[in-house]
Amino acid sequence: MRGSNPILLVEDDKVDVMTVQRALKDLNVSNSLDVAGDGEQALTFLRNPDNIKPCVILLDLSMPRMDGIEFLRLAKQDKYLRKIPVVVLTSSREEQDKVDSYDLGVAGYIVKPVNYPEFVEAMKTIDMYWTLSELPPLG
Amino acid sequence: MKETIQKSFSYKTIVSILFGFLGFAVNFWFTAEFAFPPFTAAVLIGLLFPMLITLTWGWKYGLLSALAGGCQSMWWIWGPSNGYAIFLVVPPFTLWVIWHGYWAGWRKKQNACPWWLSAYAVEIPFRILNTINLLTLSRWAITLNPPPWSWAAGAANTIPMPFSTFVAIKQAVVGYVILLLADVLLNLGFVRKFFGLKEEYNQANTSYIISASLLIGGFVWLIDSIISYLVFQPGNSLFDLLALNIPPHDIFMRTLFILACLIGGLLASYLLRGQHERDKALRDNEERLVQIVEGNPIPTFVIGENHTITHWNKACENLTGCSASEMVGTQKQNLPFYSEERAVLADLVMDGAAEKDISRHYTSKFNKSSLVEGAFEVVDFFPELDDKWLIFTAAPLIDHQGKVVGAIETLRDITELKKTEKELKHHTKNLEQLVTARTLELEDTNQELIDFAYTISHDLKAPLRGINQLAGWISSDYADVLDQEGQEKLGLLVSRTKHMHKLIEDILKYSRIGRTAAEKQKVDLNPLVRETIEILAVPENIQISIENELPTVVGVYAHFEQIFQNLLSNAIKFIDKPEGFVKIGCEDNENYWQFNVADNGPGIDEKYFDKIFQMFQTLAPTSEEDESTGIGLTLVKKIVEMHGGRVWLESTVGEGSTFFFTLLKQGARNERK
Repeated sequence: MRGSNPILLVEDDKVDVMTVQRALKDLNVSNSLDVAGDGEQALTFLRNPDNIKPCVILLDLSMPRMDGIEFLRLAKQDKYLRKIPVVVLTSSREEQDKVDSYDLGVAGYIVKPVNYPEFVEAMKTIDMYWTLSELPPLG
Repeated sequence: MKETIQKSFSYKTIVSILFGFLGFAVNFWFTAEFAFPPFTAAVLIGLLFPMLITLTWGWKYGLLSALAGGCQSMWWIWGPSNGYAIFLVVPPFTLWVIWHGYWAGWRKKQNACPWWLSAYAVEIPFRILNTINLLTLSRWAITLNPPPWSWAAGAANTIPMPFSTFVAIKQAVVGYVILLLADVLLNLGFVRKFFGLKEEYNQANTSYIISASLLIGGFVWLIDSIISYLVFQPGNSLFDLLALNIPPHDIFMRTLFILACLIGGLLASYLLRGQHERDKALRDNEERLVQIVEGNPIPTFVIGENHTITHWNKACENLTGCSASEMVGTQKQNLPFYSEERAVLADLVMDGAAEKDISRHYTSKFNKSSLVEGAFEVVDFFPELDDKWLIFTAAPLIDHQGKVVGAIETLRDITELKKTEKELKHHTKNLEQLVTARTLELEDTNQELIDFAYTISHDLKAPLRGINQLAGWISSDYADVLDQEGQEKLGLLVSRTKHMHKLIEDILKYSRIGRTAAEKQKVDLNPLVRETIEILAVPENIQISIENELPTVVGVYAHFEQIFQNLLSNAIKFIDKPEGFVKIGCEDNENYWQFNVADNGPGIDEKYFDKIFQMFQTLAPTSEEDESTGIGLTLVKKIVEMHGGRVWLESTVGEGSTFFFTLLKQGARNERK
């Protein structure tokens, strides 16, 4: 990823977290990975000035307490957070989820592939894109 | 009309014969001789009897009666003096019987008879013929006299012309007098009964008139005799002048008098009868009208002159509670309907009210009636009449001069109808509410199902993915501790999770159809099918061809894509021939398009035709490479049925299968319900 800022993964499923971690390791991505278990934790993490702002947020939609869409709604209202690109990483192929996500300005929508090698391919693409793409100063 | 019983055949026969004999006897007993110096008119009065039969029962009985007596007497009485000429005198009489009898029978069958077919009129041609006979043939026959037979040996062989003329006149007069007498007799009630003739209107009264006429005639006879005895011929005795020896001129005049009286009586009775028939018809009409109004189940009343009630029928009594006896003859038609003094619709219509007059009196709905000029129809509520709703119509009654002389008003109680209407409205509203509530419930249930499917999608997929990845990692991370068998089992585990993942995805796909927000659009199927074929990666040994131009249909693009994708991939997957083909075609079937996808694959046994469209039904055993879940055709069926079509197949095992499906054309009605 561009720069050295960490990546924030908002995901409640432990195996999925492991999958992302493993994929990043396999792809030799140097950025560190922060993990939040749900939308609330993610917001708390992002609003804490002690934490470094992530270069990209990988967001699951279905989570306990505060789901991904709700998180997006709040994050995009927050002028300090709305510039951070969000890539949705979900199991859902629901049209409504896609529509809602893009309405809330996500930078991508990826359905989690079922087997690992494909997952790695997906992560590789995300990494390549966000290495190439310029980012605004995130503060 | 009362009818006397028709007399029987034997009665008629006996009476006819008896009358014949009676005539015969009368002729011999008394031959009326009238002196018209230098001639004498001999009248055979007995001939009246068969003639009466003729005019009453027709020519057959008349002829019977004449042969039984009347004619014979003519031969006897006139034969000796007429000689050969009698052969030309008796047959005309027989002709008279047939001629008049025929017309009498004809008249009897008709209800009305024109004057020119009456007995008096049909007598004219007969009389002309008879006169010609008397003046020509008869005179010629007389010149041949005397005949060889002894009883007519004294017959003269010459007669003076004036005598022939005299006889012709005499016969004409006698002929008409007999017709007149028959008419008089047949007007008398008891005579009609005797002959079994139809009873006539006012029969008794006309009998009195004719009897009175005859009496007056007789009275005049008596007075004439007395006056002659006292004033003109005091030398003669009264009895001579009265009957025994009446001077010819007097007898002529008196007979004329009596005939005149009879004619007068006859005319008077005809006039009386006509008048009575007209009166009766009028009364019948009036009676019928009353019955029509009275028996009508629709409440009706009629007003006439000065707005006075003339008719108030039973139904009207029932509706208003006011009886006809208290209403008819009064002008209080408003009483049952309104508490205040005012005109009812019939009054307004009778006064020729215009629409604006009506609207002043009735706030509620009113219409001009389309049936009668000047009539109106009103619907109104009557608190005074136990809160009834009435629909009432009033029409003017017009006389022959076009003057309005009254009005008829009919009323119908529509309270029940109004009530039902109200209830119906109420129920309809309830029903609408119920439908709305149910629809909301259904929408809720539907939403729950959608949510359920969504939850399944995520909740089942996420752990499955976890299992899959963990198994993969174990396989790679612990490769050195796992033996060959362990690796294989982990491989099987991974492939099973993949299959389950596909199953879940297919269920979602299936449930997604029909609730996608995707808009319907015109879809040209030609490029769609070509693109689908390209995506499918068709093996080289299989030829896919589009047989004819495909139509443009309306619907969701992705749906059509799925139909062809599933049908084509199925076909390709199972083709077992070295040279495979798949042919796509379409027919225009008026209301719908019928598509077919034919292949030369292994074919499907007919017993599976229904099964293959059910969810998760595959005919091939699940293999490692085969990723089919058995949902493809179920999906096709659902999409096709959603478009108002149906899907089916024809197949021969070993030769191939053809799948058919129909798509309803835009605007056509669903072919299946």
